Amino acid sequence: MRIKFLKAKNWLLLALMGLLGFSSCTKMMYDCPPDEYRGYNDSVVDKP
Amino acid sequence: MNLTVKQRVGLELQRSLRRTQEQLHPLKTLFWECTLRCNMNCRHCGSDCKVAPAVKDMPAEDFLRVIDTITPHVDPHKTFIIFTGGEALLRDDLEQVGLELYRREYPWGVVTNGFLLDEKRLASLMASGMHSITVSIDGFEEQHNWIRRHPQSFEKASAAIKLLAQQKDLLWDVVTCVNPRSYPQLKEFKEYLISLGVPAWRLFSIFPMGRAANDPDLQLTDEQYRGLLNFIKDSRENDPRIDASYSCEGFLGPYEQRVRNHFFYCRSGVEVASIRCDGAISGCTSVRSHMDQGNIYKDDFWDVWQNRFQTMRDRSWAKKGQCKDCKVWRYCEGSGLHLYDDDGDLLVCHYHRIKSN
Ligand code: SF4
Ligand code: SF4
Repeated sequence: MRIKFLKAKNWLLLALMGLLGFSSCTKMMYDCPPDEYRGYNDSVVDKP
Repeated sequence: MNLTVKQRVGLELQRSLRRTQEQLHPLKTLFWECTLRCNMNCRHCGSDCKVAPAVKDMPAEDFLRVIDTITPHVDPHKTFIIFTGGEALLRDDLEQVGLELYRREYPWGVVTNGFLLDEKRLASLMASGMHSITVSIDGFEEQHNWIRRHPQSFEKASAAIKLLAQQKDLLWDVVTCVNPRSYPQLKEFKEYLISLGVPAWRLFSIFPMGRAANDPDLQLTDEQYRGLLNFIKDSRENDPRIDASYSCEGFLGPYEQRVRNHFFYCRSGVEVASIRCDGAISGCTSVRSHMDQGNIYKDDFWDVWQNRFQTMRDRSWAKKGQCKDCKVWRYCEGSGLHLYDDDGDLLVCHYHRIKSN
């Protein structure tokens, strides 16, 4: 229940930030790819 | 320049977001420091060289065993695994590990100096499911080779970038560590990267750690540092040809949301963990070893992630020294953890660099 609440709050905060025109993608230090590089995408490679 | 009302509103939202993330601590990024071997001898290297020769590469099966204990607790599609080093491509079993991750449906990526990235290696990495790659290049030939202390490093990094520019289905970018020698040529260097086909460019300045700690020639002056931020801001506002941005480190006051796509937020130990070469479990790989939280050879990774990491998730201990009475503490909370020395003292405050005259 608590986790659901936190996730909902998170979602709301991100939505509000988006509405205000703020981006919340995180690009990290040199050794970390940015958020937009994240997430599994099966189409990026031929089936090994 | 001061914070605008809009920036303050955004920073307050970011603050609340940080609080919820601390409680949820979703494991979004996992670094594997797969080797401490390196084929360069960079002046600005963040690695602790003293331990480098003493620590052998972690066997792939030890890393994968940890992955298998994590998998039941996460959505693999949302946990990004990054191979870092040393120079990750020195390991010739990266493809096997990558393929195992691919089978478990984790996206994975590599950070490299590009030296070993030829057509054949790139093809085999992609065939093993590699999702993204970052190449580091710190300036034109003279500056890059000077900092890397290798006569072919620029040529090789450029060749790797050209190769990446030909790939359709790969996410990639370039990172540049700006120093006093490369700073005056930033504009020309940007044109060079654009001519190579670089879509995204991340810049940062050397942080006082590893070899760079004792080399004042590597540190930008405060004026140059502000110049760097202005250069990025200007590029973002006026040049759609390349997505230039500043790295994650440091609260940047009036530059917040103007030089990167997010507000400052040190995710180390909140969303980011690492498994170091010797098995140590930590947050971001840039954080010093005194903040290690456990070791895969003694502890269960998931148990450590769930129940330790308090020093990274609750930063109230950092409210001391120059941060104690800081007016922007609520937005910064003592900056990035990689900026702390072995005694837990902050080495540099970016906000004060910006504010200094
Ligand atoms: S003094 Fe500390 S809290 Fe204030 S901006 Fe600098 S690092 Fe952040
Ligand atoms: S420790 Fe530094 S590099 Fe790592 S996430 Fe925090 S600010 Fe970024």
